Amino acid sequence: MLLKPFSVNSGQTYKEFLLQNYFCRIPDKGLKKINLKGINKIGSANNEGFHEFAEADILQRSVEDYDLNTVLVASEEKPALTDLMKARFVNMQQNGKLSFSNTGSAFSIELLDIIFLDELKSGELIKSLEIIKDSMIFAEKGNIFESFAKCLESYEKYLENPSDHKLFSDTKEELESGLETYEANPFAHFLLGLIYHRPTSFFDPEKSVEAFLKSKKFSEEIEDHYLKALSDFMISWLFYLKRDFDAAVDYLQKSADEEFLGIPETYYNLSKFYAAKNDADKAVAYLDEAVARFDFFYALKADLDDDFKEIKSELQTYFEKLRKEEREKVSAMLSELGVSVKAHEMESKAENSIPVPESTDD
Amino acid sequence: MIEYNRQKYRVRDENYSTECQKILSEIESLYARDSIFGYRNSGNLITGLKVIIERNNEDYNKYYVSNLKRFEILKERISWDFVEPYSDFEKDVKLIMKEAESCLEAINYSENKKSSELIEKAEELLNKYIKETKLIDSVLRRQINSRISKLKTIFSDGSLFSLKLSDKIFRELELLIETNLKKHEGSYRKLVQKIDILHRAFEKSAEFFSPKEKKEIQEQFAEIEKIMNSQSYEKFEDARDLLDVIDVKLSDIAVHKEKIISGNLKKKLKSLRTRIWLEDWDDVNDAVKSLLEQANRTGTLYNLNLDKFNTDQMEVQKKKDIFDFKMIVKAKNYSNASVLLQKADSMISGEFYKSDFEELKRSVVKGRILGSKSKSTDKDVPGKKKSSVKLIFYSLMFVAILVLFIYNNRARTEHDQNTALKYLDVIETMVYSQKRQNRPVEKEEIMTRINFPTGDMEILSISESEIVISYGGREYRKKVRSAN
Repeated sequence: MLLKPFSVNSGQTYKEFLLQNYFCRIPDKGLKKINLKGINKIGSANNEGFHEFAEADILQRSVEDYDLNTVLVASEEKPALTDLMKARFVNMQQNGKLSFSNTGSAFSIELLDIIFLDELKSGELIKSLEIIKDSMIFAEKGNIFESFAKCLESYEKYLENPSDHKLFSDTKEELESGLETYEANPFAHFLLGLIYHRPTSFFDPEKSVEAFLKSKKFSEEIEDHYLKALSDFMISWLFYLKRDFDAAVDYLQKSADEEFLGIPETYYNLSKFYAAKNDADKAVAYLDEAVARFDFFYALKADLDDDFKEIKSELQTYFEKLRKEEREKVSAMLSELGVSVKAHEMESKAENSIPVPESTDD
Repeated sequence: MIEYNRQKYRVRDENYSTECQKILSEIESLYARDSIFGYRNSGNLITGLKVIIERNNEDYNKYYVSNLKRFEILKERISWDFVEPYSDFEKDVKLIMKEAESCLEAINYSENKKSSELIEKAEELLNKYIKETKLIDSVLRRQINSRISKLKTIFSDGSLFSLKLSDKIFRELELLIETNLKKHEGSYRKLVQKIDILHRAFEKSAEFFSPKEKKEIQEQFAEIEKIMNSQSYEKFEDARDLLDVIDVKLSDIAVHKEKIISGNLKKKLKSLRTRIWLEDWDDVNDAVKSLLEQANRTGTLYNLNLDKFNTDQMEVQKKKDIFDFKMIVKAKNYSNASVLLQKADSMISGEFYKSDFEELKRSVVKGRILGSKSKSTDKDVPGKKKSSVKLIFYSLMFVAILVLFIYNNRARTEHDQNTALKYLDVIETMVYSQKRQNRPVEKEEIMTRINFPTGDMEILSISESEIVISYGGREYRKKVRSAN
């Protein structure tokens, strides 16, 4: 799975983008992308005065819907690419819980809540959760922790059926009530941040930032670097949405410093934000980092991403350099076997390389 | 377009070629598409190609290259023009070589494989031919057979001019045949004989070489075999050089071997001294000396052993003699039986002449041991001399008399015992002292330094390990301390 990322330059509002893109988890069946009917049902349930979307309103985001740069993928190779992505998507879910690291380039912001709840069940965050639980019990707020645990369960249930707005609303209320009594639970703040981030009647990016800032603060207190890095990641994203690219880069850099390899999307987003700032050198450098360290498909993601439009030629140069490297690797392996593909065909191919297609979502 | 480096890409067989071509055309398409995704995804293709090429290379070497090499060598060895009328050899080998060549020309390893048997047949034919004709050197063989073929051509032509030419060719042929015979009967046969001799000598002496040396020599023999298969008198000289090296090594080991064997023999001989009568030992010793001299002279070591001397029989005989004597002594109940028996026992594992034993037997009649008049020349055999240490003697005498007057018969016995033990201590000390000084035990010297009460105390035996004396009708023994 590879989805076109949201861009502040795409001409679509963020809430609209989120409203058009839902995933839910079917117990024992994995992730499912919601169709148009479901989108409208969820949108109506969660937003008063919601205008239903028509088919034509939906922004196509799948890689199959786009002509990719032929330096990256030749048109004859698209079916193979699609098959590979499907297999990776299935594999991603079959390996148990989702995480930022195992999602890689398949990450998209609408998956955030599902991934976070899965991460809470992983080794990294369980320890910190235990610390918070113990702290709250010690502070005679054990009942508040239980309430928070119930909120997590409710939220998970909600994600299985996002049109249950009442459940969502009750969860939010209980969460906020708990935070009034015991403020120092970073997980509760993070969850609240996610709630304000969802495209419902409660959608409020500012409140979302506040919640994530508090999550960051209380994560520092319990020295949970991973949760702190996640909080910085979300804060940076929300600043990006406000077009405050410098702040976005700043917070994201902190996230990268905290959690060096745990959140691959950090490197991609750094590349994306620098591209949005028109800083081609840094954009390409971080993209190369993401490709080299984690996943080649980040290059495809960048090709789809509207934020890279302004640095198209630098991106093209980077892709050609990458291609040359890959070609040389293959040629070296073939040479060991006593085979070589004639060079002059490649040079002429480079000279007559197909120009990069324009994005279709303008 | 694909280009091949034939040093690495040695796909000759059409089946393998087809398999490779399928993958190579996919790789060509991949390059034509020239995308990062394509290159990154090509891993399976390249692995598949690698596997096929590896399998090909194995079969290529096994069925084509190795057979081709053998074929080429063989062809070189029979590279003269075959002219009718063919000899039996030419007729047979020509056919087989043609078949083998055809198998090797096929671009199919199964066909190439068939050439192996044919080449083997041809090699057998050639070996048989060589044996019959003694044309072991391929150059001479070729030269001779070329001239024969020329002569065949000349005679089939039949013109006067060509007949006149044949004269020269005949002379050349004669010379070549003579040269070959000389070399074959001379240096070649001697070389083959020497290889055989040294090989057998090596097999016999192999245990005396270190594993490293053994491996070296085995490799040298393998090299020699390779050279001898080269079918070249010139190259045989290299074999001769290698044989000389092996010869030297075998000679060195023969010397070493001889040292070991003769050392072992001397050790065994030495250990026999206590187990057989010394007369027999002297005879065996003299015989062994001659054997060693002979071995030194001739180098033959196979008879450097004690097998033919029946030393086992001698051992048994000595024991039987003593055993029989002991039986008689016990049966007859002599008064000095205990002394006799002890003496006899000491002879079982002591170095004694049979004459000493005969004297012991004679002493039975007299009722006492007169003392050893042994002919033994060994420094360990006891002798008898009296020496006195006056102070010790008078002191001991005084004590003896004093005790006699003070105590009753039982006290007297005790006194006798103490006395005897004291003498034993003194003698033991002297023997021990000599041992410590690495001197052989000098019984005579000891005897001169002790003044025994005459008629009462007697030294029965002194050796490096034990002292036996008799006093007051009883025998006393004491072990000598070890000098280490």
